Amino acid sequence: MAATEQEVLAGLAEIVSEETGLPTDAVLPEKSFTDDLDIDSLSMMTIVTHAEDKFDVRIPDDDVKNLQTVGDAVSYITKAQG
Amino acid sequence: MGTVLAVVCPGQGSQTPGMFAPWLEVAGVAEQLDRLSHAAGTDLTAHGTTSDAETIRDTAVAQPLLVAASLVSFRALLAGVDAATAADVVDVTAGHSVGELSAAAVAGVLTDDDAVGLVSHRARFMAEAAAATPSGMAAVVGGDPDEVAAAIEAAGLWPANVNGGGQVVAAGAPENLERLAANPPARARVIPLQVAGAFHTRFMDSARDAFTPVATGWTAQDPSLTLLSNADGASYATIGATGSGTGATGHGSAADVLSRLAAQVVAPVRWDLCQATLLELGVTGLVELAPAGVLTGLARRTLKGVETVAVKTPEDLDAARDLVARHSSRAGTAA
Repeated sequence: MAATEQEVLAGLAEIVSEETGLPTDAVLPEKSFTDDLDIDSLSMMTIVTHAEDKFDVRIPDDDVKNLQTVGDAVSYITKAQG
Repeated sequence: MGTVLAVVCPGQGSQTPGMFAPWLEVAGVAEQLDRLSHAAGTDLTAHGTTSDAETIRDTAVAQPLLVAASLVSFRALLAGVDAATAADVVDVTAGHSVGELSAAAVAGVLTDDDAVGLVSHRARFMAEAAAATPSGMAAVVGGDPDEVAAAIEAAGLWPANVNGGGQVVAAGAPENLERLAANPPARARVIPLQVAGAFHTRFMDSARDAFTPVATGWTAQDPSLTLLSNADGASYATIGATGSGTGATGHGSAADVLSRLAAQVVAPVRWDLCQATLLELGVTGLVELAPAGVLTGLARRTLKGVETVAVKTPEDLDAARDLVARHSSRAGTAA
């Protein structure tokens, strides 16, 4: 069963928190992965890989480039579940 | 329930430009770095403040820089703790790859100057080996561990780092890394790393050959506390490979540490096994020395429930000292 945007945000926040140590409530839709959350490319790919697994979706490397903010990632994942 | 404190030391990849800047504001650090620079034969202060990312990525610079950062942060940490030496406070220590030299200094096997001096040789030999033959490394994230291991082997590569938590670093010839990236195992990603060569594989044989006589001849003392080895996660107290026994304080022998430090240049880093040993030892608190982040992150996945502090700048020292006070099994015993 597909997750709602809220559920995707919560799930993604857990993954980001595990990877970075940031508290889950710091992972907000408007936050930029690189500028606000200080996530480098290796951590980003790790997060994306775990998200693919958690939500059973595929996120090609080319699309990862366009995921600037947490919100971008949440929308992408929610839609990809289609 | 007893508490157990681990101090862990990061490896290559953790260094960032300007990382020494906040540390230089701590009393005594500028002088320390001067001394360590002299031991390393390179200006670590400049590299830790003004050198750019590309300059400090060079393994010849990165290695002494990392060991210096870890030891400067460790001495600053100890200065604020009510204890005379590391052995009064730290229950177990381990380092990841080059971090093993920092851990050896934490355990009293090497003095800080000798650790930085020795690592500068390791770094130079590894840089030479990397320049001689093209090779590289790539992180493999996710996927089923058995499938990942099989895919790495099938591609003619080696698992240079087994970090636990679904992270393996594959290493070997560039064309084989490309093959693996083009055909990753299911649900896994292959991310090329920016390193000069396939560290911890036979591509470093010449470095190991050059480093061994240097390392085994270096001045060293038996470990004064539990020190783990990347080769198998075992404590040197249990190793005794050279028949040198368990050393002066029962924590292993200097000869075994030096010989393994040399051998590790071509051997996989089994951080997964080091973490398993930390669990067996009942570790409850873990401090990662500067420049912290990677090992704390791995601990979050694998050492669940263990309290951690990542020391990146002097601002993290208070939290680190607080964790040390609460988790060291030695500090603050019966007044």
